[in-house]
Amino acid sequence: MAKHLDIVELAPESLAEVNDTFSGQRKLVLVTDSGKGYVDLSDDEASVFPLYAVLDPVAAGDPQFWLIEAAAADEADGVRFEQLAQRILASSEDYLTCLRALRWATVHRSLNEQAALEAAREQAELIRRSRARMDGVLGRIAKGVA
Amino acid sequence: MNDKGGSMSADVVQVGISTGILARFAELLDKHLAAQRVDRADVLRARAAGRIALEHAVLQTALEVNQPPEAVAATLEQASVEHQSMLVEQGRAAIHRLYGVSPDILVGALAGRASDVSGLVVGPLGGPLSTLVLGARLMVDQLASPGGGSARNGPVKVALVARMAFVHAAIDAGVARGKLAPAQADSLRDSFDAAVFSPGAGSGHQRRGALYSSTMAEVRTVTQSKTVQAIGAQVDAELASYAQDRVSYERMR
Repeated sequence: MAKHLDIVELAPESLAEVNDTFSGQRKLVLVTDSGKGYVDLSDDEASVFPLYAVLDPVAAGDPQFWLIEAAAADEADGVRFEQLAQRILASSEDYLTCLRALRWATVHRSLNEQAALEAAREQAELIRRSRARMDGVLGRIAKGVA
Repeated sequence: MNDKGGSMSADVVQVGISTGILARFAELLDKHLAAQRVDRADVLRARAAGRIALEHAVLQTALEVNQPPEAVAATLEQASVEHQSMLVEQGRAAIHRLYGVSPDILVGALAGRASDVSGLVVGPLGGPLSTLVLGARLMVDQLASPGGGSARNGPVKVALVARMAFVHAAIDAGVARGKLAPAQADSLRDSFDAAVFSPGAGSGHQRRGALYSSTMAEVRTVTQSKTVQAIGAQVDAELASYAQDRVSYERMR
C-alpha cells in the first residue's frame, strides 16, 4: 500500500511556513479559508496548494505577535520594529512581500528596511521560479519535447 | 520522439514522456475551457488542477522512494546530469517494485484520474481526444512496423501505455463522478482502443493484436491497482476541495 500524503489543518487565514516542493526552501504563506491549503503569491493567478504534512507546515504567528516578541526582548526595540512595520506597509510592495519583510526583520533582529524588503522580494522570486518550473513541466509536451 | 539510439538518451526521452503526460492534461483542459469561452476563473482552476496533480505526483514519488521532493522535481525536469540520472533510475526501480509499472505510466493514470473527462470528449472521438488518438496511433504504427521489434520494450512502448492509462483512467473517473454512464464509457473506451490499434491497409494484424494485448495488460495493472485507485481518490478529493478554496481577495491587497 502506498504511503499516504497527509494534509494538516491550520487556523484559516493565518500565516504559516512550509517547504517549497520544487526548491526545498522555506517560505511564508497565507493559509486559505479551509485551513487545509495555502497561497504563496499575491497575484491574480495564484493557485491554492494543499498543506501536505511532508512539507512541514508550521504556524508562523502574525505581525502583532512578532512585534510583541520584539518588545519583550527590548521595549525600545519593540517601538523601532513597529515603526519599521509602518514603513514597510507604506511601501508599494504587495501584502505577502510586506509580511515576509517584517518576518525577516524580526527573525534577524534587523531594522534595515531595504534589506528586509530585498529578502522578501527574493523569497517571492524563488517562489515564482518554482512555479515557472512547475508550469514548464506541465507545458513541455505542448512544445513537442516528448 | 526518438528511440532509435540517436543523439537523445533513453533517460531524456523517458523523462520527457513522463512530464509530457501531465502537460498534455493541463493543456487539453485549458484549450477546452478556452474554446468554450468560459470565464477566466475556470481557466485558472484548470491550471491549478494541473499544478496540484503534478505536485501530488512529485510528493508521492518522493515519499515512496525516500528522497527530497526537490530531488524528484529536478529529475522531472532534466535527467542529463549524471547524479540526477542515478536518482531517476533509483526512483523508477522503487516505483516499479511498488506498482508493477514505470513512473511514466503511474503518472499517466493519476493525471487521468484527476482530469475532467468532459474536457477530453467533444463528440465521438472529437476534440482533444482525437489528438490523443493520433499520437497513440503513430506510436502503434512505429511499434507494429516490421522493424519495430527492438522498440517494443523501449520508451515508445512506455509512452503508449502511459497515454492509454491516462485515457482509460479519465474515462473511469468520468463514470465515478457521474459524468458518463457505464455504457457510454464502454463505448468510448472501445472506440478509442479501436482507433488507436486498428490496422491500416494490410499492415501487421498479428503484431497489432499482440501489441494491444500486452499494452492493455499493463494499463489494467495500473488502473485496477487498489493502491493507484486510493491515490487517485485522494487526488480527486484534493481537486474538489481546493477548487473553491481561497484567501479573501481583500486580504491580498
